[in-house]
Parts: sequence; C-alpha cells; structure tokens
Amino acid sequence: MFERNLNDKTIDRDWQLALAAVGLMIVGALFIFSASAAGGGNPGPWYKQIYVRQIVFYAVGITAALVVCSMDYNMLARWSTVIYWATILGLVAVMIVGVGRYGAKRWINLGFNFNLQPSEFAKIGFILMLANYLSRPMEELRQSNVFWTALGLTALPFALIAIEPDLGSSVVLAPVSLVMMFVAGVPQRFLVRLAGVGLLFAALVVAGILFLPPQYVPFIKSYQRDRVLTYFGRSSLPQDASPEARKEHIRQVGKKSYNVEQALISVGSGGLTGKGWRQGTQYSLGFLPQAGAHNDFIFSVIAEEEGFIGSVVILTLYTVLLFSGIKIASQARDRLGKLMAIGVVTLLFSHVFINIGMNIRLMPVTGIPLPLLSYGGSSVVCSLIAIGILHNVHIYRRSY
Amino acid sequence: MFIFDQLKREDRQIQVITLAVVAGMLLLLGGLWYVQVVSAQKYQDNMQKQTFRSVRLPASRGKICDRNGQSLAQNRPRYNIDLYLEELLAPYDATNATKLEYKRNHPEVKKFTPPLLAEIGQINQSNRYGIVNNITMRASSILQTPVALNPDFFFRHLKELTYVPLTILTDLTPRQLALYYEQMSNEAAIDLNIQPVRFYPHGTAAAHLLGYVRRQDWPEDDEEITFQYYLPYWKGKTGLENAFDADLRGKAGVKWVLVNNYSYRQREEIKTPTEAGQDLYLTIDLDIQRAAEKELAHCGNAGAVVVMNVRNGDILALASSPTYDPNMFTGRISTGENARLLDERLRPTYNRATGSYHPGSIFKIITAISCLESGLNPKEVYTSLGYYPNPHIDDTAPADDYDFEKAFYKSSNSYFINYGRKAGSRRLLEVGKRFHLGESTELGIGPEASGFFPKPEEMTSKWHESDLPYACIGQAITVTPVQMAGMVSIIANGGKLYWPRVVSHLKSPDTGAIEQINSPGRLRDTIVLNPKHLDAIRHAMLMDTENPNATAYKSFFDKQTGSPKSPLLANFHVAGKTGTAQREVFGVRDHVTWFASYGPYENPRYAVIVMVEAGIAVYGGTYCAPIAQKVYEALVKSEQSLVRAQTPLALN
Repeated sequence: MFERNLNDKTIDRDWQLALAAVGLMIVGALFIFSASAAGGGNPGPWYKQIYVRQIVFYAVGITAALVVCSMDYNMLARWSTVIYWATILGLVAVMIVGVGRYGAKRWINLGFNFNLQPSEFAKIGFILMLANYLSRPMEELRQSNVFWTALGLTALPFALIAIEPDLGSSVVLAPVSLVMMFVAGVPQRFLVRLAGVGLLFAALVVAGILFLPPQYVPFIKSYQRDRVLTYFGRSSLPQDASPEARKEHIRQVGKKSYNVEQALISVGSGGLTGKGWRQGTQYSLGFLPQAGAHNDFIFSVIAEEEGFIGSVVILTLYTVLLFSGIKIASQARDRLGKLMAIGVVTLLFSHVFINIGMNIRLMPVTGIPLPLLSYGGSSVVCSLIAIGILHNVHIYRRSY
Repeated sequence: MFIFDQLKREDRQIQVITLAVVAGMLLLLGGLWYVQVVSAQKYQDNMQKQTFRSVRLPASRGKICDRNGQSLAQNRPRYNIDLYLEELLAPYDATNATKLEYKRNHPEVKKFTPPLLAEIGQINQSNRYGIVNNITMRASSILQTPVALNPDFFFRHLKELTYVPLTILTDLTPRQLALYYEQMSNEAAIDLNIQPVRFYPHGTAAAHLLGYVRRQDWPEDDEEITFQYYLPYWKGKTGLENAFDADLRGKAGVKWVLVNNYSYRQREEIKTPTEAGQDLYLTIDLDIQRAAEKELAHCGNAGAVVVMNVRNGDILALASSPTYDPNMFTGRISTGENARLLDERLRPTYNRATGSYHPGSIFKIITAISCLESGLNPKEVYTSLGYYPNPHIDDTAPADDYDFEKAFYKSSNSYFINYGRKAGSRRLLEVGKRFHLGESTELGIGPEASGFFPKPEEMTSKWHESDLPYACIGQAITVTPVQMAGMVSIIANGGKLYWPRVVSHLKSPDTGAIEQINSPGRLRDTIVLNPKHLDAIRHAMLMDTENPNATAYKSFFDKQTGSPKSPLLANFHVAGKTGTAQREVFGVRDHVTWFASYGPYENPRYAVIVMVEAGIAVYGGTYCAPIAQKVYEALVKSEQSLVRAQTPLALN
C-alpha cells in the first residue's frame, strides 16, 4: 500500500506518523487537564491553566514542524552547523543566566512565565549536525579522525548538559550518537570499543558510588549518587555518620525513593482497566509530586486512570510513531535522510523507554520527559520538530 | 504488518534497530503487565492504605424504657468544639518560615545544613502551634472558660491523627453553647461536634437494675475489623446495660476518611452505615419504682423492695438501697464518690434485691405449710413459755396460749419450732424444694444469689438435724427478696410459680420490629397446695395487718381509732408477714427485717417484699411494713389513674 507511482506530484504525507502524533497530543492534553484539575484549590482563569499552555505549545510545535517540512532536509543539513553551534551557545548561556530548582540550572527565563530548556533544542541540533557530518562517503568514515570528530560533536553537548547538571538528558545523547554512527557505517571495531569504554566507565562510576566514599568519585553530585544508590536499594550514608546526619539522610533518601514508590503505586493501582479519567487519587491527594506529575510522571497519571489498557494504547501509539520513523529511514533518499530519521527515532525511543521505565522502576529516576505527553514547551516543540524532520525525510524521499 | 516489513529488508542496520526497538517496547509491555496486572492487588492495597483512614462509628445506643415507655436510660447530646486542622493549612503556609524566606532574612546563609533545616522545622512547628493556640485563646475568651492546649498533646495529634478533628473544648454548657452560636459559629476551621452521652433522666431510679456504662475509647477484642481510629462509645458494665450490651449498642459503622499525603482530611465517605441499637423495654413501672426507692431512702437503711404482679411474675419495682447515680459513671468520678462506691458496708452498687439474706419469720409461711401438711390442726392450742426450751431460742411473742392464726400474726417462734420439728426436716426441705428455694430465679440482670436451701436429698451433706429448729424460724437458710416475692405470689395465686420477668422485649427504633425476650406469665411450676391450708395462711397473713395485736397492724391502721392510715387503702386489704432475722456482719450482730405481703386480699394482684438491714434490735413491723404500706398506696394510685386512662395495669 505504500508503493506509489514515482511520478505522483502530490505531496505524500505519512498519515500513520501524523495520526500517532496527534493521538499522543490529544492524550497529553486530556491527562494534563486531568492532573491539573485534580490539584484542587483555586486554579485561576482558564487561560492560565497548564493544559491550555500545553495546547498552545502543541500549536507552536506543529507550526515549527510544518516550517521544518516546508524545506528539503538538505537545506536543514546545510544549516546544521549553524543550528548546532547556536544550541551549544544556548547551553553555555544557561550556565550563566539559567534558572532552575534544586541547584540545577536548566532553563533560561524568556519572560511571559516561560522558561526555555536549551538542552532539548541541543538534541535536535546535535542530530542534524551528526547526520550531516556522518553522511560523507563511506570511505572517509573508516578514518579514525572522522570517528573522533563525531565523538567530539557528541561529547560537547553531552558535557555541557551534564554539568547543568542534567545527567539524564545528556545520557540520551549516547545511544543517539552510537546508533547514528552504526547506521552511517562507522567501522564496528570503533563502535564496540566506544560502547565498551562507555559501559566500563559507567560501571566504574556506579561501582565507585556503591563501594567508595563520596570524595573518591568526582563530578558526581550527591543527589545523583543518592539516585543510583536508591535504584540499587542501598543507603548512601557513611558508616560513621552522626545521628543527626543519619536522621536527615533517612529523610532525604525517603523523599527520593518516595517518588519512585508513589509512581509505582499509581501505575500498579490502575490495574487492568484503571480508575477512570480524572478519578485517580495519587496526584490529587499529593502522593505523586505536585511539581512532577504533569511532566515527568504524566505516565503514572495515565496508567492509574486508564490501567493496563491505557498503557497499551500509549505504547501502541509510540510503536506506530517509532516504526513509521524506521520505515521512513529505510525508504530515505540518501544516507543523510536515513541518518536524520534514525537519529530522531533513537532520540524518541530513548525518551519513551527511560521515562516509562522510570515509572515502573526499570530505570532510575531522571528528568526525562515523555515525548508529546509530558507538560513542557521545550520538550513538546522539540518533539514536534523531530517528527517534522522525520516527515520531511518522508516527503522528499523521491525528489531527485 | 509494517514492523515486519522492516525486518524483510536487506538493510542490516535497520533490521538491528527494528529488533532493538521491538525488544525495548516488549520489555516495557512486560514490565507494565507485571506492575499493572500481576501485582495490581499489592499496589491497590498500598494505595488504599495510604489514602484511606478507617474510622469506627459507634451506633446510637438504644434506650431503656419502663413498661409504659417512660425512658429510664437514654442519650443526651454533649457539645464539643472541634478544630479542623486541614482548614488551617492556608494560615500555616502563610506563616511558615520557608527556606526561601529564611534565606531572605538571613542573607549570610549559603547552604542549608541539617541543623539549620531542623531550626526551620522548629520555627514552623511553633508557628503551627501558635495558630491553633490563637484560636483556642479566642474560644476561651468568648466562651469565658479557660481552654488550655497542651503543645505535646497538639503535636502528637498532628503527627498521629492529622485526619481527625482536634477537640479543644468538651461538654459545653447551655450558656457556652449560646455564646458559641452568637459569636463563633462563623469562624473558620471551628465546628460544633455533638457526641451522645448516656443519660439516666431519673438519676438513681432503678440504678441497680439498669447498671451503668463506661466510656470505651478502644475497641473490644471481638471486633472483626481493625480501624485506624475509634470514636468513643459507651459500654455497659453492670446490670441490664451489661446484660443487653450487644443489643443496646447496635452495629458500628465504618467511615473512610480520604487523606492527602500529609494525612490531612480531604473527604469522608460512610462505608458501612451504623445500625442503631435496640430499645429495651422492661416490666418495671417507673412510678412504683420511684415510690419504693423514695420510701427506702426515707428509712435511711440499706434494703430492698420487690413488687411483683402475682398473676404473671412481672416485676413492677426492684429497688435497692443505698443506691448511686449511674450518670456519675459517664464523667469523672470524684474521690469522695469513689470512696463511697467502694465502701464495704454500704456497697451502693450491690443489688440487694437479688442478694441472699436470712428470711427470719417470713419463712414461717413455708414452715406453716410443712406443719399443716403434716396434719397440724390449726385450732390446736400450744402453750408457749415465751421462749423455746431446748435448744434455748428466744421468742418475741410473750408466754401465752397460741393457735395457728395467733401464733402466725404474733409470730411465735416457740409454736413454729414445736410443730416444725414434729413435721420434720425432710418435710420442710421438701416444701422448700417445691417452692424452688435455693434456686436462681434467672432474672438475667447480672449476678444473682440463689440463697442457701438444701434439697431433701442433701439432708446428709448440707444439713444437720440441729439446724431444723432454727430453720423453722428462717435462720439456718437464706433467700433473696425476689425469691420471697415468688413465694408470696404462690400463696396469693393459689399455687402458681412464675419466672420473674424484668425484661420484656427489644424494639428496633428504625423498623419498630419487636423481639420478645421474655413472654409474660412464663409458668415455672405449679405447686399443689391444699386449699384449706392456703386459706388458713392467707387469713393469718391478713390478720397480721388487721388484728390490733398483730405485728404489722400499726403500719396500716391508726392504733387509737382503728381506721386505715391511708384512705387509699380503705378498701384494699393487705395480707402480710413480718420477719426479723439475726446475722453477724463484721463481727457485729445485727438484724435483717422483712415484710412479705400481697394485696388486695380478696383479689390478689401484687406481691410486695420489703427487706431492710435494720441494724441493732428492731422488728420487721418497724421499718418494713410502713414502706410496704406506702408502696401499696402508690400501686392503688397508679391503678386509679390507669382506670381513668382505661388501661388495666396488672392484667397483661
């Protein structure tokens, strides 16, 4: 059914992709409404409601995606260097003028009560840049300096995001980079070594956190340390801690593992069929973090209210989205388009896997949003731009 | 399917990625299946545990009413002032020293160390106490009563019972209630809470019969469900309150309080409604009961009065003195009251109507039957020496010639010992057995004595022949006033012994459904007695009140004029027998005096037994007969008012 006449001049849209995206946006708006309306108290006028803001973000994102679709992706590739360095500049800017909570600087205040999250845009810039860089002839890819440059292009945003600190967001760049290099045809020996070194490093860090005193593990913030320890069910308290420190520590760790526990209770108590839209109690009674339920823990709200059936619907929508992407990649006109599509698919998949995995304790807690469902302007707009890129690759697959 | 289309392609990289994405999605699907379907129950339980607090709602306790529906025990509202903590959250937030605020006030602070956080916590805590304390102080000044809020109590409540309103003032007086409505009812976070308190409107009336309740803050062991919080309820401890506790108490309900993550109350729902306790109806007649109690109290000694309907065994009054006010037990008992309650001589909570006592001369009714059945000719004359010679037993009746009737109304010990011995032990015990002496009357109102009265077959084990002369005059054996009411009823009604009945039925306040506990006139036994013997005893009993030389005459008639003391009793002839028994209490010899009677003589309806622990040397006629006379007056008065109301009192 996807085989069309090559001379067909009408614009070929991928309806599967579009419908899955629209479906996810509708679900997102519905459950952000559910989560915010359940919060109780005086919610203020309708135009200040977060679900209204989310709908506005969707509109902005769709517009951005249409703009992205309006030009050939080769044009985007030509501008990729500029875009990449602009997003890097954004990441540098956030270090200087950024705002945030809990000691992390992740946002730039744009006024109008809107905070821009440059790390989201950096991911798009990074995918465009890397796709453009790796789309060179296969022979060049065998040279190690190309591999090292590609690694450098990954490492720069990775490091800048990691020191915000937002390790979760930065870690997403690793699979994206790895998969794009793999698809581009970078020799496997480089990739195996890279993956090996990466895993070894990660294992060393985790082992260090688990078995060494904090001062021997550099660059790791105490909350990151606690998260890892929580995930492995360990206490981060030194043996010789004073009783007060012990008490405070138990309180702090309790607070952290509490969120995971409450997310699990939300998801699990949804059961097979859920409690019904707006009938969930976990968020409205404040057991799920009030600040996080509509962004990082939106999946908990959906799973609680719609049960396993709802979860399957969400997974199905993402599966349709991802495989439309893979199909687009496989049908792409050239390696550039294929790499762009694969980069976007990997990015979206990583977000989905880490976020949903976090809700069922498959993954440790990170601030990674669920594409299109989580509340947040940067995330929504970037996800839609990414889908726009996918669609762009689809539209221009035949324009030789 | 389009997923597999990708696998069919030649492109190896795409194949690998497709497989990886499929694997990842299946992993998520499996994880979600495990959490949401396999472990759903566990998480639903966890959610319920953290979201709901179950509160036990006691049902409203049933009333206890007399035979005419007059309430003897009921509930009265007690007004408390409750503070709803969740409504104070906004003021809490407004005054809480948050970290940001703290930083603003202390610019030098760079990092929040644990001690600093603890300090902020302290500030927040004292702010919370301050807010609540302000409200209680306001309440204190408006209601013009000191209200103290103990910080420890407050913080414990805040920590453990956040979802339960905090009671700051209990049991408002009507004046305080008016002040509350006038000045405080619109106040935020404050509300009036109405709690039922057990209330006995007639104070001491029938206190021993009703028993009392105590406040129960924690549940009994037999509760099936455990709750997080229990509202206090009342539990019967003695008497009918105890015996019928389960029926009166009803069925407790379950309330679920939905709480937020700080345990503050959000919503409530009644999971199981309460089922109100049943009302208990007695055979007691409040007017007769109060008359009996009034006369007992008037005489000032310990004692008991039993009024029974001789036609069906219904008990119309069951009074015991000294008494107590059961209302006392719903509040705090002062040390003085407590000392009185525990006094070993007074024993105010002891129901003397079912206690065992030597019957003294009223037992001569039994001895008389034994004598007459052994063939005693009532006309036969016995010459008394003024005492019984062997063993030497004193006699209050002077040395004289006595036939049966004179011996009975003058209460000659010598006469009855003489003929009682002739009739023999076995016969006496056999008559007692026919009258079911020494057996419980099974009133079902709490501990009840059976009295000591050996069966004929126990003659060798519990009886000695030397007991006989003493038993003939009611010394060697014991009886209860209720048993004596039964004995007199047998004489009055010609041989029918009914089970005494105090409790009639339970009535559901919701549906009006009646559950009969005891039907009226349950025949326990029919005692075959020779009508001639009965007539002899009845007439002798009548003479005890009507012959000017008899022991009870002056209680019913004016000795000078010979006219009835009470015009109400002009046509109401009472037949009775006085008695005085000796006993030793705490090493002191004192007396238990009795008057066992029925009336009216011609058409018996009531048996009235009066027993008074008289102390040193006095006779039954002094204390007991006047009390009985007043009780008969009350009975006649009550009958007259009922005749006017066209409902017979003692006919059911």
